[in-house]
Amino acid sequence: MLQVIDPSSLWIKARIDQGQAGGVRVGQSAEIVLRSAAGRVYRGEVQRVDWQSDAVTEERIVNVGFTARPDALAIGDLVEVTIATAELADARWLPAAAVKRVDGQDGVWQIRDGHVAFHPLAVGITTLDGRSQILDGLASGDEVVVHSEQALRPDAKVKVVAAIVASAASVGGGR
Amino acid sequence: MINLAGRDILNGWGKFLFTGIGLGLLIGVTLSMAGIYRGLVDDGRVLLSNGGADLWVVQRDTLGPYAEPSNVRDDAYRALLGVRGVAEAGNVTYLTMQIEDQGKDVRVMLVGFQPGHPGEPGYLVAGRPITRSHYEAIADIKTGFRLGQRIRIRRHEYTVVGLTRRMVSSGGDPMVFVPLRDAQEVQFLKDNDALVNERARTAANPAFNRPGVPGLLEAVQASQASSRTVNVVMLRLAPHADEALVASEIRRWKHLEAYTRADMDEILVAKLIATSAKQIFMFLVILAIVSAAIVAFIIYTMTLNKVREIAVLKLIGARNRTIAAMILQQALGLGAIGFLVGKTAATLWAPIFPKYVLLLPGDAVLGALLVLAICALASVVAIRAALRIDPATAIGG
Repeated sequence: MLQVIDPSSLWIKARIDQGQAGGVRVGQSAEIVLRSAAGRVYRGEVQRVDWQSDAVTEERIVNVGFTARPDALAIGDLVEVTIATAELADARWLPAAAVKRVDGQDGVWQIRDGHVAFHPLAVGITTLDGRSQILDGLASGDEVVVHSEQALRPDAKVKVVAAIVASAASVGGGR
Repeated sequence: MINLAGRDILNGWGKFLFTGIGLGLLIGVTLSMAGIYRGLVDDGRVLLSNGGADLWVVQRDTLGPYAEPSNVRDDAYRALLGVRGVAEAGNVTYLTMQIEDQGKDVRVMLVGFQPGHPGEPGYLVAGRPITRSHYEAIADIKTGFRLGQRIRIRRHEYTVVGLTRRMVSSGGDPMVFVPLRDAQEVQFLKDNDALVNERARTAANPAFNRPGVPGLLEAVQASQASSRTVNVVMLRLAPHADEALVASEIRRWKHLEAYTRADMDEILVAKLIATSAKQIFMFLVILAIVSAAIVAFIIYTMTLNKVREIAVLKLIGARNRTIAAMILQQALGLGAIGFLVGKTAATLWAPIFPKYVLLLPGDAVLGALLVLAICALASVVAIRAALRIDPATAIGG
């Protein structure tokens, strides 16, 4: 048996978790990293979103094509694909580590008079670099708890520090 | 009236202080042992609380996932979500393994979880949650990994994007959290050589590689390499749901075992860590007895060293009560110095221990009371000896 391949029509078969695949559309740009050349990022584009999801792994199959195909490419290689699904021009955001879920409600912990209180929020998308879009419920300049040394409970007394681990800010301002 | 105990101590304060410090270090070791015992139990408890689950659903007839291996199909959670009272479900895998970090091996428990579901780390001390569906990790700070570091787990490299703390296995190994799919692959996918050999073995089996049935061999090989199991499904219940009722419902209809938090606590504390906890507890008891004996001996010999002084006191007409009070006060003073030094030492060296040491204030109070009680008891023996001293010893000897 022979396998015949047209090298100009090579697609990457990317498997995206169904929970995150909702925004994927044909034509969106993608970044591709070959495992064989991990330092280099290739540009690509979503060319097909498979109608048939993988029901067992609960992943959607997305075919991504290279804008300019790399020279050294082998069939069956592993690649990493990052798809840009949405672009928000002017969004209010928080570090994703600050957004918690309590009793099925998204929100943040805020400090009032030395005690923490849960403040419900409407949260939009979360970017890959860990920024959560705030749709409603927080004004610019509000302070929230980003990192904590243990799980927070209502009315717990807290001590505010700039960073728990050096090189990371722990209390961030809403933007 | 002058304080005889204070005067006597001032007379040889260096000796008294050093005896107290020596005693203190011994008490410090005992307190640390109590802390190690508490830490061991606490390691088991935090393992339960940090997933945020109300019910643990595992393979039937097993005490999984911590005390025994347990395998559950990873689509079982859908059926479980249909049970009345279940609000959220999350698949979780556990695997204890070694990860190499700059030439050194770090022993970790690899946890596969679904972001946004029960089983995810509840809080971070730095960084951000996992946002990509593959190849990102959150590590406990005890692993020593840093934000942005690339760690290699089996065949893939993962980026550490967040740090958390006090997320440990029941054995005290720090946890590394990765997306469920990656963890399943790590847990069930074999290494390359094994895969290639297995393929060849299957191809050599005439039952799977039949002429005239194209595609059969590939289908068999694909089914061998896939992994659709998790170790536990963690459930969060709706408010007011009766966890015992939901658990019995799952046991009855879903061919699975369900444990409530109380059950899990029982399994972890009473079964899994029972032997090692008892071992340490036994040692703690022996150490406490030895410390008590040493305290008693020190006070006894301290009194016997003062035979001449006590005899002089008797000769000049000091009452028995005065002498007894002196010995008791010195014993209690020694105990107080010892306890202070011991508590300070235990607090200072607790963070250096590789595993968690939990010094409870209650234990410290109990320790203080015990030390003072032992000192008082030991002084009784010394007082009896002192009262028998013949006043004539002061002159003739």
